[in-house]
Amino acid sequence: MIKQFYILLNFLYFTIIFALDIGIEQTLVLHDPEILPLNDSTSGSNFLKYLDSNFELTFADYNNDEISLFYNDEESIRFDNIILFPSSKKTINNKKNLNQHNLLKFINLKGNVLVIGGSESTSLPEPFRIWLNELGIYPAPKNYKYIDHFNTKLSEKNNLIKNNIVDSLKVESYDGSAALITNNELIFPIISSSKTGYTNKVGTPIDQESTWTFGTQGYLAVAFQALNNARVAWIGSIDLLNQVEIYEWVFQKKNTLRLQFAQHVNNEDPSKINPTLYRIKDQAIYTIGISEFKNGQWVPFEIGDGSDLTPQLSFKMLDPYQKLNLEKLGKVSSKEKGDLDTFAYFVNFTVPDHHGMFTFELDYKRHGYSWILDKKIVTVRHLANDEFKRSWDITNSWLYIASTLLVIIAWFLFVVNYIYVGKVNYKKKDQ
Amino acid sequence: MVKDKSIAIKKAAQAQSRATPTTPATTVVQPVSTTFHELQSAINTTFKDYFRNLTPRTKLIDLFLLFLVLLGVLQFIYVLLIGNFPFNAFLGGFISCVGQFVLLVSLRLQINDETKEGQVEGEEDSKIFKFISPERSFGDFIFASLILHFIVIHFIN
Repeated sequence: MIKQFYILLNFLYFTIIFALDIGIEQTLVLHDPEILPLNDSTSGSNFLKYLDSNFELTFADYNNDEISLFYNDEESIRFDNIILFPSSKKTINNKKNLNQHNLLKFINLKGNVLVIGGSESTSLPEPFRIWLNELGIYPAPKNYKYIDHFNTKLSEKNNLIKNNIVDSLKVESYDGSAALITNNELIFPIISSSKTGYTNKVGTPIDQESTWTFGTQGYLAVAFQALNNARVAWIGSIDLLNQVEIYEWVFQKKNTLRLQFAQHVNNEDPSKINPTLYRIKDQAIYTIGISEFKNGQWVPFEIGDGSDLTPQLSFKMLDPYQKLNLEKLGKVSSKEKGDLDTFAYFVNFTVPDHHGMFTFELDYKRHGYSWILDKKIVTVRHLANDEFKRSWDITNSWLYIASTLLVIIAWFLFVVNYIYVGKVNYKKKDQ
Repeated sequence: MVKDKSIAIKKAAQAQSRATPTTPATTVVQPVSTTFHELQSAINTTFKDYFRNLTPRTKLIDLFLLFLVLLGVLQFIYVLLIGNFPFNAFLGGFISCVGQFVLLVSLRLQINDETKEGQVEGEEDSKIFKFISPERSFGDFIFASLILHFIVIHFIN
């Protein structure tokens, strides 16, 4: 009895600990101690310092059986981020908890994963490889190495792909592998192989069988962002950890956007926010506010004029009837009496001359930034029968009205004259 | 050389003989002018007959008819030039002309029928509107016209 009580107390203690820990992000680091002890200074030491100062870390061996990604309810994740270091072994002992299904579920529950590819003698354990393949990233297997005899150092000209994550290459020497990618829309490469680079089996001459990537079909760093904004990055070598932006991006510290509000009003009645009913040819004003997470706080997300990052609104019923760039409005506050933490954009447009169910759709998908999707459905009605213009308001119809009046007047004169003329006739006949 | 000359003369003669049959063409023109004259005389007779039978009432009706036709044509030209934007207004204006025209023509037929009675005796069967007096037809006309105007005004909106 006392023992049971003790266990219960223990459970309570743990739940309190976890409740307190919500503020600090949990990060799991999986590594192979034979290759990477992680306690002495390696090339990733800055990275480890960064991890230490930002997260509550859990280090684990790939063979550690006690690691589980989820709490007992299987609905919430124990860690916010996972970092996978390369391993020398293909198989792992903890297959029950660390397999491709659980990793996929981890992403679906908004967990982020940074995968670090190995050099010659190392690679990823099999379950993680399968999981990466499911996403559409095919890293080179063990014993493959990225080689470039012509451009021995990475350069921005040859290797950097224009993206919103990495602006400049800080890494020159590269010792690692490359990956192939599918045309999955959610995948976007960061650093590619040069035209002369290839990935080949170590120690064998180059031929069709032994090459994994050839020329620009190979990628050294690839990012993936799921529709729920969970982020995954695969980097081909531990050297790329010097490229700070990549892991900051994975851990949602960079280019993380939040839609603070999205609303639409009818120009004739601006006090009523998000009305459900519009009339054809009404003037609608659509406003959104976007914040960006920077240095631990939300700041306004301002985009330069004419940039292709400009958010767009589509007003659609199956097809977009309007597709408009939003204009800048200015910095606003997302809360009452708060700081100016949001940048507002707006667009003013005429509702199309077509009635039906329309959607104000903000579908913001720019590689490297969080996806934003907002849909607001409204009804667009046609004119009621007393809302049409009267004929006399339309100058075109004045002639028709005048001619009708003329016909009526002439008819009246005709009737009078007809009777009058008839009488004269009778008088004449009488005489 | 002499032979050539004779051939040339022959050819010239042939050409002349081909050119000569111009006279039959004038005889072909003759029937056209006669039909034209006939047409003219027919029109003349029609006009004379028309003016002979013209009572002040029919004269008044015809004047009104002419006015309606002109007004209708004016509106039609207008719709061709400007476009049919307030289409209901155009229809209203145009139909008021056409409708009034139709009603007026019916009135004229009924009235004319009545007047012809005096001229041609003993041909009761030839009359179409046997049982309709001119007063009745005039009343019908006023009643129908009022309905027409009412509808047209509402249709123009």
